[in-house]
Amino acid sequence: MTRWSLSSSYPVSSVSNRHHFYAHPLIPTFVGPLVHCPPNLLSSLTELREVKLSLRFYNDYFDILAILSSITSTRMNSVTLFVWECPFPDDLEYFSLRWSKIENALCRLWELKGTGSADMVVVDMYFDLVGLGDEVLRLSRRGEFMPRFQEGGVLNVRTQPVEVNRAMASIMPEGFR
Amino acid sequence: MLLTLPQETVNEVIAHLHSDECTLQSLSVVAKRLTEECRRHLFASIHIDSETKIDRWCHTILPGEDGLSRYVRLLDFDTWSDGLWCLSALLHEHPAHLYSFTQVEQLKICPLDPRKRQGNLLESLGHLPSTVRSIYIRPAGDYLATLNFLALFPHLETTVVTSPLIYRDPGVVDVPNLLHRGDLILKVCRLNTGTNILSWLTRPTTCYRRVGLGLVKVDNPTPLERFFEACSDSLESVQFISCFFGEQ
Repeated sequence: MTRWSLSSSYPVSSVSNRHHFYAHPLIPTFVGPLVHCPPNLLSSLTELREVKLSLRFYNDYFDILAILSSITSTRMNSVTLFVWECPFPDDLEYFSLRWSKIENALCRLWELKGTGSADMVVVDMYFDLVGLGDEVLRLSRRGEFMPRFQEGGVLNVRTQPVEVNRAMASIMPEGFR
Repeated sequence: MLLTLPQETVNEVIAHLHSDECTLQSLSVVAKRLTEECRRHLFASIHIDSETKIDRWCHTILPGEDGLSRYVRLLDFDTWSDGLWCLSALLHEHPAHLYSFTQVEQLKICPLDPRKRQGNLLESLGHLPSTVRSIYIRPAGDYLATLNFLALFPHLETTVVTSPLIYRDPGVVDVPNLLHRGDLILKVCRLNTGTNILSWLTRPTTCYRRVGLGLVKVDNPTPLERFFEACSDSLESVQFISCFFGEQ
């Protein structure tokens, strides 16, 4: 499922002419469906306040990036990311690079709200691997994970892994989950 | 030890056991002061999906305001199989039982088809509309009839509509009774019925305080893109969205 790109400027999506994501030499690139979410997917949701997304790291990275980047609402309060298959941060540089685009998209959300807004954008992040959440939490506390986002937003790294069906059911009122 | 604690503390302990049916059953016969609280959790929700279950409930649980039915908060009718019969049986053969559900706050009916025999049955849901605050439906019939069904519940705070199977274009629908209906959550699975949910994303959504969109098991971005393109004029009221790709 995973392809390792050898060229630093290899376009991940060779079919879609709307997006040109360029891969890092050591970053696995996506070889699933070669059509990604359009850059304006959520642009018409002007009242949007809350987003919950599942991020299968190797499959959905560019779609989730496109979804987050397409938000135009100035009222965003909450982003929840359920992260699956994320590589362990053995190589911090690689790990940070991989998350930097997501971080930029999240920073954009509090920039859209403007500096005068009292409400902050809160990002809750869940990981599927036991221990990964702990490690990411440790990095975020040391300012080595999404430091720029934390300048204007709140990052909560959850250390308890969440089961996928529970994650999907979380949009439902409690009794219907 | 447990019996020496104040009732509030006992209740807290029992609340932590809410999903442990065996322990609750055992605790409920230890002492009278534990029985009430244990029953509150044991009978908090009932799932009715067959004639057998209806019969079992009606023949073992005594009807009446002081019976076990008063503990039921979630009434879940799974009407896929012989479910129509379930509702029919409950209403016509055992009306006293239906009136014993005095505290139902959440009602789930999947699928909901008010065109069929359910129509008469649902109109005679008795006192349920006065207590129900949340409703979960999978509409399978006439769009307007479904809206009229929802209008039976004046105190709805949350309405969940999942992958509707509505075949007709509703056209212009007057829904004055649906003003100020709290939150609406539209849950679409696999986007295979995505076009049908457009009906729910047009006029009625303007009556809701908040609208949420839950997209689960999205196979690939293409139907997602089509879905948002088709709905673009009606998405302004959407305040929260969740999206889960793939089967996982």
